Amino acid sequence: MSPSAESYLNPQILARIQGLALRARLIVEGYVSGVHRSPFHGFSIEFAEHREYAPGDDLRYVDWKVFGRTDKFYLKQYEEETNLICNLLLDTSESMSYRSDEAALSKLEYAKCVAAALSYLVLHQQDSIGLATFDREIRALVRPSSNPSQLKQVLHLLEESGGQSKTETGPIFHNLAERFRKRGIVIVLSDLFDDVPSMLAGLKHFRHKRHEVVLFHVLDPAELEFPFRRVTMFEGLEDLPKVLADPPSLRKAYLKEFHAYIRQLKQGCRMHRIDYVQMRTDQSFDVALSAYLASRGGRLRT
Amino acid sequence: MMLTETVLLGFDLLSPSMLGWLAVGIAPLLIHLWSRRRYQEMPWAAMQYLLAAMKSARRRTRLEQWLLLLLRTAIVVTVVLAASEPYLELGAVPFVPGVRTYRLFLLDGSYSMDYRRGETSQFRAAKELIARVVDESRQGDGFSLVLMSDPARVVVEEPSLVPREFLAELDALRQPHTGADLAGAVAHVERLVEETKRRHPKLTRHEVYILTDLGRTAWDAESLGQSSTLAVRKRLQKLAKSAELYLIDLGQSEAENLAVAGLKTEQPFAIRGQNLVVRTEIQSYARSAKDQPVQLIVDGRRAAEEPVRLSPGGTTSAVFYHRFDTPGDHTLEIAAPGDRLEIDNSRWLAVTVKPAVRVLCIDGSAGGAAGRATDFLVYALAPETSQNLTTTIAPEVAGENALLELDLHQYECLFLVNVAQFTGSEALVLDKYLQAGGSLVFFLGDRVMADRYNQVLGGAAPGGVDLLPARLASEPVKGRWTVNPLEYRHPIVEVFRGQEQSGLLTTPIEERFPLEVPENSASRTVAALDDGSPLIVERPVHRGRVILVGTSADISWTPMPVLPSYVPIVQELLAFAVADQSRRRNIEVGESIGATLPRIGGSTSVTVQTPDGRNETTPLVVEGGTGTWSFAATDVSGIYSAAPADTPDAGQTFAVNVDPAEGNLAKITEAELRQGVLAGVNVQLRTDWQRMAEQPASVTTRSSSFAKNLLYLLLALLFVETYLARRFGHHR
Repeated sequence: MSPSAESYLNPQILARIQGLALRARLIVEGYVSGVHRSPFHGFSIEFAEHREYAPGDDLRYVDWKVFGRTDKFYLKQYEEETNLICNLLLDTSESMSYRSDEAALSKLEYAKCVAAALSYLVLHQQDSIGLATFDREIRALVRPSSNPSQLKQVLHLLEESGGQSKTETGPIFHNLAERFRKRGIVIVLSDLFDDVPSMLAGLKHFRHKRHEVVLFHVLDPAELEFPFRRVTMFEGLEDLPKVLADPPSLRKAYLKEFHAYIRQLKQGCRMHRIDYVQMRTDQSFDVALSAYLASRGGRLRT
Repeated sequence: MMLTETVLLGFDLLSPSMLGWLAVGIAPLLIHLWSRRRYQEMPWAAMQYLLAAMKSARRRTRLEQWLLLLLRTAIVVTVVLAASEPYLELGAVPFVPGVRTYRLFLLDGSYSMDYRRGETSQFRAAKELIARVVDESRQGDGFSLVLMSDPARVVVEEPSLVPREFLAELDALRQPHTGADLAGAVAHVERLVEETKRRHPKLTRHEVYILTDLGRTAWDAESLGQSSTLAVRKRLQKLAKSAELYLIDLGQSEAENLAVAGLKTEQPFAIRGQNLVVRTEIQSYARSAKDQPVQLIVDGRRAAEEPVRLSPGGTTSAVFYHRFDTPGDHTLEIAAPGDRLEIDNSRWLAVTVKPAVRVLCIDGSAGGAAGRATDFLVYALAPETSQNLTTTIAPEVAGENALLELDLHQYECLFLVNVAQFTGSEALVLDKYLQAGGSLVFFLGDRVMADRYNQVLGGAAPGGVDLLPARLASEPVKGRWTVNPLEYRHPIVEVFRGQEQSGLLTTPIEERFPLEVPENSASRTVAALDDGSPLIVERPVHRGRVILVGTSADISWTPMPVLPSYVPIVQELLAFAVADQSRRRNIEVGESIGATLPRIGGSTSVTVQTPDGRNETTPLVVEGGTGTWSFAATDVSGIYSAAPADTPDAGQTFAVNVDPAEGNLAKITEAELRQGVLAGVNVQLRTDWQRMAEQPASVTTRSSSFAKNLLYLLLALLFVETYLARRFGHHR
């Protein structure tokens, strides 16, 4: 029996599917067929006219300012076109290639799926999508466009991206913040294993340019739980040394350090009004889509 | 099961082969090292946080690892040691406390323990049980033995660490024929346990086994008295805090018994050719009436037998008549055989048969010639002479000089009548006479110099003798008094009880020396005057007795000599004075026998033959030409014979009897014990002694063994390891 559309939100199942384009479509369709509200309602940001309320109309579109002045219910009518720009920033450093036994996808694979699904969704909403991949430098950059052919280009770039080098997010974010002229939504997909103050400074630059920033913190479940029992030689990625350790005796101290790091990250995001979304690679993809749509909704209301 | 024991480095091991497993103790270390060599490799992205964690936890982690390694090694070693069942060998270095046990046995030595079940007495069963417990004890344990006889006796005082020697002492222990001195025994036990704790710290565990038949006589709070009960309870409560107490009940609740409770002659003297009336009392401790044959055995031969109907729980008397035709020492025995407790089935009486009782009357009023005073006295002593009848008492009269000239030891008693004073030499002669068992009766008179009496005979002079029962006032006083018999409590005047018409109460005393009885002395007032002042006072001195009469023996100070009460009172004075000689020959178990021999020849010791056939030698202490001997080990009832080593024919016989009260075999109940002597005492009461004799391990529980302690330690280590491993994150 073939899996339902919704089951493709599960990374374990999706991992069996080859091809990022197919993965992206399955994630979005799975999301749509679920309990989630369809994201394809046409709402653009350009106001067209008012129409008088009729029973059955959605109350969310009542113009309450007009009601305040006239005591009559009018609905806002928008043009079905968009100029929302969504820029995806994908961390392709070596640390993103880590996958533990508990996860079906590496962090990078998981992040690519999320990026592809978001691209698919954004373009089907008539919005523009752009993509930048980076490690210690910007590896590729696709400028935002709402052209349907943009999806193919983005997916191709995602397919080609692979982790080799270490991360240096701070300078990269500053660089990109200068490059993104039009304000929109900036979505960062990274494990963020970097200097936190430097990284936050870069993200703050996006906020300074009036971008909405959504930080997808992609983590492997092993990094969050450190479940190892046997004596292990940990081989550091991104030029870090090898370490022989007895995990049970270190677990407590490791979790303390790691949670302190996440706590610092969350505090920084909260301070700069950045949406922080932690994503485990064994977690359903709908978290990412819901987070994006929530951020987009907030953007439209402002 | 015989246990194979091996000694290694000062420790005994019951399973030495298990020691090989000690090598497994390094297993945790090897596993640790091996696990560090066998590791998995893994790429790791969040390395900077792992490095930070290692930096912060390195010292703590290392400490935890070593602690767990130590614990796991200790667990393995503990398991191996427990399996090898080690315990400390003698003289070894201190190891783990609790290995060696001090076992003190308190064995009830009262003769009720001789009650037999089949062929075995309870006493023997108790000894066998002790022997089994000792046999099953571990090497290095210490043993002491206290015998709860009366008085209580420590048999093995210093903890015996060699079971063979202890068992030899136990085997040689005879059943005494005494009662039980619970208070004394418990005091011994407390002392021994305290001393052992102090002097033998390696004997860390202490156990006290009390093996008894729980007879009421020994254990009942009422029998003991309130103060003794409290004292015993207090000691046991204290003891129970430092030692485990086991009370092993060997008694039988349905036991029945009879005892020969009394034996005496009606006459104060046994005279050759005269019928002697022998009266005995048989006490029944049975629940039903019984016909019991009672035998009179004279000098070892059955002389008469009489059936007696014994009422349940009552006392029945029987009377025998016997005439001795030869003078000298003889023995009478009453035997009522047939029950399971034989010791109290017989009672003995040693009698000395004489042609007559020789009495010397020293008359001080006539300067050596017979005077009026002694005339009354001689008449009162031998009234039959006036009728030309054969007399049992042969009084002789002599002057003061006879004290130094005659051999006083041929007389049973001296009457000293109105003697003015005594010289130091005479006082010494009298003192020696008393040492030999003679008796003195003083009558006073107008010639008496009271101050000289007090000085020479009353101990006032340094180095002088002290034999007077009361001090004399300096001068006699005149008046008119009558005699107060003090409720006839004293044996001398007891004969007048119910004989108020005999004239004693109305006998006038017109002149007398006031007598002052010293406080806290052994002197007893026999009779007083109507104003309460003493008239006749007596006191035991050495082996004899001294009686002091405060008035005259003639009619100069009192008309008593011509009144009817005079003869009986003089007769009773003599009977009481010489009765001590018989009392010293007829004693209870535990009292000393002995004598002063006026002529000792060349002997330096006396051989005592005991009823159980032993010949014991006791030294003869020679002083001033006389020899004195004493023998205290009379723990068996029966006839004892004693004679100087070189003159066996000059022997004396002594009868040693049991206290018939101990023949009451009624047991005290556990409830009574718990409310009485054992109130608040943590003691285990065991009644299954027969099973315990078969399985001593059920008594000597191995709970104190080192192996068991190791198992407790192992449990503790496992618990700690589990807890720490979980706390350190090492649980798997």
